[in-house]
Formats: sequence, structure tokens, C-alpha cells
Amino acid sequence: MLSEAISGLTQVFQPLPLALMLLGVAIGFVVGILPGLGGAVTLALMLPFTFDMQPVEAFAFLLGMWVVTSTTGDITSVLFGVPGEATSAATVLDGHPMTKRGEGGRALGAVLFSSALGAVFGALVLALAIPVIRPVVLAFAPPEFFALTMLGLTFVVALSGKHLLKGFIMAAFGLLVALVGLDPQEGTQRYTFEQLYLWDGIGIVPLVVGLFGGAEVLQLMLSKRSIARAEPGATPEASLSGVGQGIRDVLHHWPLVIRSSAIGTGVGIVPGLGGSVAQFMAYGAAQQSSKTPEMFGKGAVEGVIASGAVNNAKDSGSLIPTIGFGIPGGAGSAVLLSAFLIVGLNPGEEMLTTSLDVTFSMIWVTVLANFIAVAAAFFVLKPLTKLTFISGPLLVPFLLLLLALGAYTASNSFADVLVMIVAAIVGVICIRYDWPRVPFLLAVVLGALAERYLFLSYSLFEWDWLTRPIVLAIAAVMVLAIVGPIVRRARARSRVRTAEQKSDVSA
Amino acid sequence: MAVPEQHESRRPSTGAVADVVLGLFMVAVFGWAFLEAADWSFKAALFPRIVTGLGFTVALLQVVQSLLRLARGRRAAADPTPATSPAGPIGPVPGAAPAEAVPQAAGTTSEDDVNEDDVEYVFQTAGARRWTEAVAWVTAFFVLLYVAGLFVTAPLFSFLYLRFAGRRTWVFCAIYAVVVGVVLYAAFELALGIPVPPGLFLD
Repeated sequence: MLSEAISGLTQVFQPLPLALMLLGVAIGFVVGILPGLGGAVTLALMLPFTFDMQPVEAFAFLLGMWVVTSTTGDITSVLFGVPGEATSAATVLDGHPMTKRGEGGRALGAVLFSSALGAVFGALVLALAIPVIRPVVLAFAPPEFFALTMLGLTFVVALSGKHLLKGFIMAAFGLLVALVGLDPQEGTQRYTFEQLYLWDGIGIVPLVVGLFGGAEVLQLMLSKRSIARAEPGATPEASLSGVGQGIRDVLHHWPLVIRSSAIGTGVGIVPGLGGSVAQFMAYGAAQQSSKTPEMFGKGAVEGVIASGAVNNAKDSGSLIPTIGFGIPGGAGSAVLLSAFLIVGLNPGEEMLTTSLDVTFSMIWVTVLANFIAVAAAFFVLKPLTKLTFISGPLLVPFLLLLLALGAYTASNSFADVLVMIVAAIVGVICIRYDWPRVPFLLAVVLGALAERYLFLSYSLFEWDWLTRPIVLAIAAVMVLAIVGPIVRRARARSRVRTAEQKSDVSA
Repeated sequence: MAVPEQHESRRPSTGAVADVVLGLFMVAVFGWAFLEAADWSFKAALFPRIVTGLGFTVALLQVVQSLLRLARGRRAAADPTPATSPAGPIGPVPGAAPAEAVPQAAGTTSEDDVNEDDVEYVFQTAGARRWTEAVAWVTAFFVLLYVAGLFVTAPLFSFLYLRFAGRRTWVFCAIYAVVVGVVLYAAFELALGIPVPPGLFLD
């Protein structure tokens, strides 16, 4: 394994992968600061450009970009109180008060340095997880993998959404969308409406771009104001000194960094929990263990450290099930999974044995990209943060063009643009009426895999595979994941009711 | 996150009606897809039947649930005493609890600025006029892209949008349009050679 680790590193240090990684870092840097674009959408937009690349080059580019977005998203959270990424919201709670107090530099030093350490921690766990999950993956047959894809979907539905039924409907809808095209066994046309374009199925790139990016652009058009409204005193010129103090704070609070990174990695591994939950879990844990919990929310450096570390550790955590089992945990890793398939890498056995060096190169990229981004952040901070003040309408034509081009270049067909528009409509309806989008996307990505595993299971074992012990165990976990929330909700409701009855009586 | 929920709990019917309509739509989609799969061979139809069958059932459940919620909401509206029903159907759910509970415990300082930027909030509060405007601009963009191609659409749309929706000066819009056009042309046509939407007349 050590030789693969070294081979992975040397492959990253070739001129082309290195240059592509730097390019990726640069793009991720800007995207992280621009609140209008998220990591997942940008990944999808960049996918078509990786079609001709070798695996290591493609992942140097894509991962370099993706892992950096959550780092630089923290910068605007600290300086302006506007999270550049949804996963940087917890950084606002303490980072922004610190800036108002004139300690912006210290907060930035702390959040950036702890981000880098979190990334290293996550990458280390990812590397150490490989020898652990390899025997598990090798012991699994198609039935177990089918059960796992279903488990991944169930987790995403049960953990990420408020409404179980809506989540399952969206997951089933996603699987239905994945079915469009020629069926892999016999070439039957399924749901193709006699359209040649649909024979190949619906592309993941236009789908992600529309589903997530479309809604973002429409939001900018509707709200019509600059992304960040500057609060008085929160100008980019606010004191940026004290960076060294921030770094020393991080070193001083090293147990906090490790605990927050562990929370991030752990949450990242479970499909469906995602970054928004992880950041507040780490934040809450930091507050509980702090000697001065009353300072949290008013500019406690511990809060900043915790939310910095958790974000980057979570990305590596979510790579573990993606690489090991082909089950992504969120929108970003779902796009990465389709990138695996594009460059011809099969998650699971292959990425843990014959392509292990590629897997290790991905781990190295995660670490390197973060350090480069953090180092660069300290130098180019001031000019870049002004991006946040660009007014919304100014970005709209640019972003619309980006969406159209991103969708079109996926297969050079205007039909891709139409798919993107339909996906955008679905995305907007989902947000407006509170239907979850991530189960839908994940189901589209996993649909083809799930059908293949189901079919293999059936041809190997007929229906006997349903009684295999691991399949049964996974099914039990699925039932728990569904029933657990329902039971807890019912209990919470009855508690509310008894509380109300009590208050009625006392009144 | 908190604002849309409060908003909804005051008027539970809007969300519930949408849930019924969208649920019925999904029932129709899954039902159609299930019937469509009837003619296929066993191998081709196995997974589709499972997926659409389950989808149909769950969507039907969702419709029934939201109809019940709608009825309960009506009853609650007719009955002025504080009923438990608005809190019931859209109350906090354990899955989301950690994310919501902690910031509340951490203080309310962040809530204002986070909520105002929430995409849910913007979608819910933007009036009909803004929606019409935005959708009209987007439609115009894609129609123009289809008819005239990228290299005409990019500068033209940028110019018109910034001038009339963004209310920028003529000079500013002209410079923006020229820069967008030149950059796109240089990047895609000259440097990368990647095909872009050509429009109807150049195809």
C-alpha cells in the first residue's frame, strides 16, 4: 500500500496534473467566494472538460477545485457575515463578530489554518480507511452492493429531509429518470418518447447544473441586490493583521481541531447528513467543551476553529463511501462519482486494488490543494473578497451563459440545454414547495448502478439473495433509519401535546 | 430556515395545496410509467416495475397525507383556539434537529442575515411581478440562444439585461457586452475549439 501511496504522490507531481490542480484551486477559490455558485454546480460545469484527461489529471483538477470551495467560503463568512458556501454558515456565528471587533485577521488565520488541518485529518482517515474497507468490499457480491445503494438512498431521504414521503417520492422519481434510455440488458427503449437523444439516457451534467445552479441564478434575478450587503464597519479593509495570532490559536486548541475534524469525517461518511449538519454539530460540541461557552456567538475563536476544521474533513469523509462502495453522500460527491465513471474508474474493488495509486493521488490532491489555497488566501485575500460586493444583476448574464454552456458542452446538443431548463424548473419547484432535491440527484446517479446490481443478483441467485445475512442486516438498518425519525417525531409531538395540556391546566 | 416555516404555519393551506397538486402529478407520472413498462420483457421491466410501483404507492400516500393535513388546517382555521395541528405536520423533525437546535442555543445574532439570503425566503417573498420579469428574461435568453446562437446572444442579452433590468449606464452595458462577447469567442472558438450553440442560421 505504501508503494501505491508514493506512486500516487509522484503522479500528482507531474507537470500536467500539477498545473491542472493549480487551475482547479484557482477556480475553486473564486467559486468559494462567489455566493452565487456552489461546489457541486461548478464540479458539474467542469466535468465536460475532463473527458479527454487521464484519471489522475481529471481528479487533480476536480478535487483541487472542490475541496477548496469550502475553505474559501469561510473567508466571506468571516469578513462580511455572508457564507460563500452553505457549509460555511457556522463560521459566520463567531467569525463575523470577530471582524467587527477588529480581529478579522486573527479569525481568518484561525479558520484557514484549521481548515488545512481538517483536510489533513480527513485525508489521513481516508488513507487509513482503505485497508479497513478493502476486505469488506471484496467480500461483497452484487446483492450486498444493491442493498448498499438502497441504504445510501434511504439515509439521504431519512436524514436530510424533513418529509420522509416527499424524500422517497423524489428518490423514486430520480430512479425513474435514470431509467430513461436503452435498457442495458436487451436494448429495449424505455421512456424515450421516440427521441434519439434520450436513447443514451439523461446526462448528469445538465441535470446538476439546472437543479442547483438554475435555482441560484433565479434567486439572484429575483432578489436583484448585491450578494453581500456590507454592514457598517465590515469593509475588506478591516484589520487583516493578527493572522499569526489566529494560527497560534489553532495550535493552542489542537484537541478541538481533532475533535471537529473527527465529527466532520464521521458525518461525511454517512450519506445524507451533509455539511450543513456537520458544521453545527462541531460548533455545538466546541461550545459544550469550551471554558467560556458564553462567548460563543459573540466572537469566540474556538467556534471559528471548529467550523473551519469540520468543513474540509467532511469532504474527505464523504469520499470514503464514494470510493469504496460507489455511494456518494451528497450533491458534490454524486458529481464526483459520475466523474469516476467518465474517466473509466469503477468505485469499489477496482479503486481499492488495481487503481489504488489513483485513489492515493486523490488523497494527496485533497491535502495539497488545501495547503496551496490557504497559502494563496493570505496573499490575495483583499482583492478577491471584493467579489462578494458585485451586484446580483451584474452576475446574471455571466451565470446564465455559464449554465447554458455547461449544459451544452456535455454532449454538444441543444437538448442538453432543454434538460437543464427542465431540471431548473424541478429545482425551483422543489425549493418553493419544500421538496428535497438531493435524494432525486443521488437516485439519478445511482439508478443505473442499482439496476445492474439488482440484475446481477437476480441472475446469480434468483430471489434467494434476499436472504443473505449481510443483505438482511442492511435491510434492518434501512428499516431503523426510516422508523427511527417517525417514532421520534411521534414522541416529540406527544410531548408538545402534554406540555400544552399542562399549560392549559395551569392557566 | 425558521422564517419560511413560521410563514407556512400561519397559512398552512398554501403549502398543503401545493403538496396535494404535486403529489397528484407524481401519482400520474408513476402510474403512466408503470403502465408503459407493461409491454416490455421481464428483464427490461423488472427494475422499472419495482421503482414505479413503489413510487406510485408512496406518492398516493403523500396525497392522502396532505389532504388530511389540508382538512386539519381548515378545521384549525375555523376554530380560533390555538390548536396543535399547525405545529404537528410541520413541526421539527429529528433529522434536521441538530442543525436547527444549536444555532438557536448559540444566540439569535446570525438569524437575520442568514434567513434573508436563504433561497427559500427569496422564492417565497418575491412578488408575482418579479417572478414574471425574471421568467421572461430567462425565456428570452434561451429562445435567443436557440435562434441566434451563443456569440450573438452573449453580448446582446448582457447589454439588454444590464440596461433594462440592472439599470446600468449605456456605456457600462456596452463595455460589459463587448468584453463578454470577445472573451467567450476567444476562449471557445479560438483557444479551446469547443462547439457552442450555433443558432438556427449557422447550423
